[in-house]
Amino acid sequence: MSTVSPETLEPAIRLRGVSVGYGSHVILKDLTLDIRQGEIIFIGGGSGAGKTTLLSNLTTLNRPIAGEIWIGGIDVASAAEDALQSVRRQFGVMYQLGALFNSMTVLENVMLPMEEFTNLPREAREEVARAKLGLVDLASAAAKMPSELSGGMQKRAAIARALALDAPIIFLDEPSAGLDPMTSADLDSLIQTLNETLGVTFVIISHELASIFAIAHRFAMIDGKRGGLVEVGDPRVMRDSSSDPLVRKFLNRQGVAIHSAPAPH
Amino acid sequence: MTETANAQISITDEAGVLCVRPMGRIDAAALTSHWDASAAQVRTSATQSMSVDLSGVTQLDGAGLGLILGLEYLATARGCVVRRQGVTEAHARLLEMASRGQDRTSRAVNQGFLEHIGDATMSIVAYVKELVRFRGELMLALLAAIRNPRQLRWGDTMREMAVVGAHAVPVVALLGFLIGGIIAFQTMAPFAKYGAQLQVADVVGVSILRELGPLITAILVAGRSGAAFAATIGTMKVGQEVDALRTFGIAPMRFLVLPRFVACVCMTPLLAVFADLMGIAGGSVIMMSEGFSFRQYLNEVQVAVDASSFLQGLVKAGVFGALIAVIGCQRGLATAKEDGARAVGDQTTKAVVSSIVMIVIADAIMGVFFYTIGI
Repeated sequence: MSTVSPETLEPAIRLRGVSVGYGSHVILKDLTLDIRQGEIIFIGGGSGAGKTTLLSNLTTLNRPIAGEIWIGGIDVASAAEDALQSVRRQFGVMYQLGALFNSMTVLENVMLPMEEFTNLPREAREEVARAKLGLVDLASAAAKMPSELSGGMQKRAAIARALALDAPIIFLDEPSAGLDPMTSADLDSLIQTLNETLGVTFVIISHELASIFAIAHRFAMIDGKRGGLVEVGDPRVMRDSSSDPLVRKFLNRQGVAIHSAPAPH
Repeated sequence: MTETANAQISITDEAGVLCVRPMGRIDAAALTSHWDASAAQVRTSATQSMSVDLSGVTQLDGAGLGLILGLEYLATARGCVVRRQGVTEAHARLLEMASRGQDRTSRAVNQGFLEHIGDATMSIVAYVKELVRFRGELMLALLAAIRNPRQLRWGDTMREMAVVGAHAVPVVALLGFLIGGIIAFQTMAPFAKYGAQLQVADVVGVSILRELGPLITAILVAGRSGAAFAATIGTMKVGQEVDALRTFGIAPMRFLVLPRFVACVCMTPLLAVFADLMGIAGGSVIMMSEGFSFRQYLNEVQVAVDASSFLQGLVKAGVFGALIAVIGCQRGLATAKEDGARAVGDQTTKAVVSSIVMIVIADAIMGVFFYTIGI
């Protein structure tokens, strides 16, 4: 493992004055944030805060209304479509519902990006895909169809597919959504292990407090109503000593709910 | 030894042990450049043991794991004993994670020819059984709706009628007109040899009213509406909307199928009438270009066809409409929700193909039936 502090490295993603939205409708504005190499950062906020809109801009599906998003030395806000293709090789994405291709086996799903973007012989592609499935503990499900997998397994398979090209950055959209707490905790531990062993940067869109406190190096709270980035930092420190009441309320949500519940008669 | 800018892999035979020594950064680039040569060496070596020395590896990513584990698998597959050495703690953890639970025996087994035939026969038998069950259930729903008309969702039925019928008028009109014209044009030359040009009107009248009017209409309705029924209901099935209906206690047969069935059975004959009229009109253009008057042409058509020909066509169109609705809706409800978008596409294709096949078979049976009873 590298001993260099992530803060001294070039950021994996650099956002400068970014405004995102749909058409002329701005949801988040003037967002400035550096996502460090090798960190696990959660981006969260309430419903309608603009999390999904921001993710679609970070993953180059949409372009920001204003500002710059630098990934791998390219500003994806202004880059030509050809340049975006090379940026897209720098990251993998796991969508909320997995988005596995139902007509292919799990192994074929993981092999697909390699088939499209590498010249590897089929045998080598298969070996790599099997290793990736092993990393997410799904090697035994290689020959299964996605419809035969449980929700948690589908998400792990989607992570294996996102890892297919050894991209240095993985975006996860609501990885815990629809999972029971045990499966969700397993997924958190998988993310942490992949981060520690492969040095992958994880950008996770989620408001799952248990996951944030379990594995996040940093938490970025965004809120459309407040304009953009509210605060970023260590979630434990933010919970205990943030000067912003919204941040404290958000990160203490469970505690507030428990303490404010009426006593049983 | 093979070597690239950052990685080297040396594979040597040392006293009966195949020594594999990857060095440097073992990643996707190393895999691309070294896989073929390294795999060939491991595969063809006669040694009974292999040693993988990872002490020279500075960096190992997912593709590198595939390279190491792949070479180890090739060796073990030919009965070779594999040992690892010089593995750092981090690399050992990665290798342990990536190699867990590997099962290479579960690959798809190719079916034999007889098994294919057996499977295909069983699926046809199952489909016919399902179709019979489906029609029975539909008839029960229809009887219930006749006894109590409020059972039928009239709003949905009217909307479906507009989509199946009114929206299809332009295309049915165009095709009917062209088919009438083409029949007249193609039969004109042979009939002219015998001086029987006026009898072309007989051919146009009989073929359009009895056969082609209803048939062309039915094929169009199958392509437009039958496919739409299967796709709409199939998508609802995948999105669990059909399950939601069931759990509300609403029968999908009454809610989804009945309005479409009534719309199809009512509108296909009406469209067929329209196709008939446009077909006759199409034939008249060719006849008039040959010097006959429109009245002459129409008189000849009236001599050749009677009310029974017209009614035959209407009955056929009604039966075709029923077939299209039943097959389209049944295919939609048969969509496996686990298979998602692909299943919707498959069922839609099957709905159109089965409908057209069933329409032609029903046309042949009804043709023989009407002939036998002397209509």
